Amino acid sequence: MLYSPRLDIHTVAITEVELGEATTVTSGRLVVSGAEVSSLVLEDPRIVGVDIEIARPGDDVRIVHCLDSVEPRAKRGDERVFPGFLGDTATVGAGETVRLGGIGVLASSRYPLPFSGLLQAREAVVDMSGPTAVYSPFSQVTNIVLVFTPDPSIENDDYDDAIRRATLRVAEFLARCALDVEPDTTTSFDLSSADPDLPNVVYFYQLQGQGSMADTFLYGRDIHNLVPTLIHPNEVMDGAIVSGVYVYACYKNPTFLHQNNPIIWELQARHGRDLNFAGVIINRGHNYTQEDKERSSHWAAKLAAFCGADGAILTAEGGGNSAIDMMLACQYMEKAGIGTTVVSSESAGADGYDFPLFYTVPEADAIVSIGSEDEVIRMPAVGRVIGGETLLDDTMLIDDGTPAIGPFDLKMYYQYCGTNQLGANVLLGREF
Amino acid sequence: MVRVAHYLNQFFAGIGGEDKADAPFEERAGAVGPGRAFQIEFGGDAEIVQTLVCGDNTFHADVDGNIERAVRALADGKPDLLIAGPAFNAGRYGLACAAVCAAATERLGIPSVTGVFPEAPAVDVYRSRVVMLPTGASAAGMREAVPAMARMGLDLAGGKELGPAADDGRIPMGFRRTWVTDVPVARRAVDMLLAKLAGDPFESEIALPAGAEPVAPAAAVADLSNAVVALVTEGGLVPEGNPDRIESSSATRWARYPLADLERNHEPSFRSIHAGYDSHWVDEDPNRLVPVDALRALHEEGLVGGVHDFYYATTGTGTTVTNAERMGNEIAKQLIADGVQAVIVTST
Repeated sequence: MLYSPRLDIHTVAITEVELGEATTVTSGRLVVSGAEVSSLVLEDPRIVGVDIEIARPGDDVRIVHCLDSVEPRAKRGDERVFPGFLGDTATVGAGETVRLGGIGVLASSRYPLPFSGLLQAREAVVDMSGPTAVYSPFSQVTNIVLVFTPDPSIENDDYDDAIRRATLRVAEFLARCALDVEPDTTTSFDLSSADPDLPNVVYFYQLQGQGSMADTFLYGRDIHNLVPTLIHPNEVMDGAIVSGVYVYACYKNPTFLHQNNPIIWELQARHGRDLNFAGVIINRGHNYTQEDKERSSHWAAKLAAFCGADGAILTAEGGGNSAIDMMLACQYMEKAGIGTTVVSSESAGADGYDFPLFYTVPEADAIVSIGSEDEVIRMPAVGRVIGGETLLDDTMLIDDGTPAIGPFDLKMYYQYCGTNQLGANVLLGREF
Repeated sequence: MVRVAHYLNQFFAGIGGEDKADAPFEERAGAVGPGRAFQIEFGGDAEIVQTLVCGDNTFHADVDGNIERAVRALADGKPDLLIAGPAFNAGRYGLACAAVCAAATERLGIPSVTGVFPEAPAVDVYRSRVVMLPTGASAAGMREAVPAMARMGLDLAGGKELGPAADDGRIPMGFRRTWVTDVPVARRAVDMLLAKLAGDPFESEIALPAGAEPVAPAAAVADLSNAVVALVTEGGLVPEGNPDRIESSSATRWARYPLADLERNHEPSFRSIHAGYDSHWVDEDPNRLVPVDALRALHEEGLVGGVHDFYYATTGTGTTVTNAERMGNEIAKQLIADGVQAVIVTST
């Protein structure tokens, strides 16, 4: 890459989390002060209460009403992570970043007002143990769950903004407590050199930007009017992309998985060995018209060519509509001589007999599957629920008032990151 | 010890070839013909306790009767497993094997397996109902078929769940399931891309369809001024309370509602339950989705002959093709029965 700052990510591995008097990180043990976190959250009067709960891998616990998850990260020096939210919009992605490994700050809440239509925060479930733990990658991390209570007099969008900012503040605060802790590992991200004998690979990174409750933020702004553009992977690591997508839990890309995007980590790790990581193209999915979809996908293919790409990996967020944007980008890249691999979820119906893709182009001959959003999963009874006593109403399958403790049947749609298109989960659709 | 029943045609039972294809249905004790090879393969784990034999012509001259005979014999014999064939590329024999397997499993709960050539007609007819292993085209494939079928059969009798077809070595049954893998998506994606760029072989995890069936548009309406026009939408507009419980996504249901009710919509008593678009504009004024106001105006102008009294609604987001086709057919039948000649379908 012509522009490639160096970013050192220091990982402080956290193996134990508990609530205590003061927030500290020592020898892999994170003590979270409820008082400190509460006061940080309640700085914003739009939130009137917060309960802090810890959910560890293997716990007999179900978390419901999950919203965003954020990995604790902070910059050494004066810079801030999550530019546009915590700091100004100066470019991030260089210098030193400290991350707390193995934990996430997970927001959980109902909203002040009822929702209707597409644009609503739907149920999102994580089971921390048992046979259903496999349906969320967040069963594998210790979740510091912030269960928020809204000021009942405010609008949903206003409240949404409040909890997003609060979650980011808490995540940064926790990592700041480890700025001086000796890291367990340090990974340097430096893509400045390229080997002319290796193929140049770009990452087409489609983000959801569909409106309230279905928005992704780039340096603090929604992406409704974004034409495809280039971003350095290091910027993503430092929180340049923040999620506000809650429409369908299975294919959401929470902030945690933008910070830890598995595709970016894989391309970084193989840079200089198997390939040259030649750039990241971000694109808005869910463009409203065919014309907009054509314009964006042509533009993305053009940027890939600018990067000298031989190949591209494409991911999206959300289903249906957004698959068209991604598949068209695949088509125009292939027509420009750039080989593609597409990551896609499947929608073959609950019984699996339908064709699994919503939209295809003949050029999409290399598709990686991440499982089907249509599958129905029997959720067992659990010992304890964090986040609420009943599931959120939805006419798809959930009846209002279903006890969250279980057992109940739940579509993959409501499994938190069940079919995450960044590849965070371990599921795969197979022919039976 | 697993008790096994075996189904054979007249040829493999040693009665004779095509000239003996009218041999009657019969039941024999113990292993016959290829059954002996299965018996050797089973060793001490299983025993063939009954062999059902039927001539190929006989079977197909009275399919229901012979299935009934097989079911009765199996109900009496109470085997833990039915093995049929292998039938290789013998068309009628393969169909008989699959039919007997389907009946044994679906009616008696006895696990079953057959072996056929992947292009045999039984595959098209029974693939979704019967566990089938691929075999060669002719009996020369017996040596490979017997151990594979024996192993599959013992697994099924032991209560083992089916795995992915490729892992089981089965002919795919035509459906997909989500499976747990230990190879990360990102590694699979990069490996697949590098193989593709290098010109090495790779296998897409989802194969593209051979080609979507084009839907031919209906002929133009000859005389609109005499035609009754109906409004149909996938935009999820329903009366308050969603009385027909149409799903907000992945719909399986549709319903029709009187236009007169919609037109009396002074207090917002209709709303969209569709979960795939921002529906608040429709909730404000349902004419934006179901344009009954415009259609009435066209009727008054005389451009259209009549307005059908109902509009039809479902939700078109995440809907499977199978359900979409079924609902489309059901709605079309109703429209035709009601004398509708033209339809405006609004989509979101």
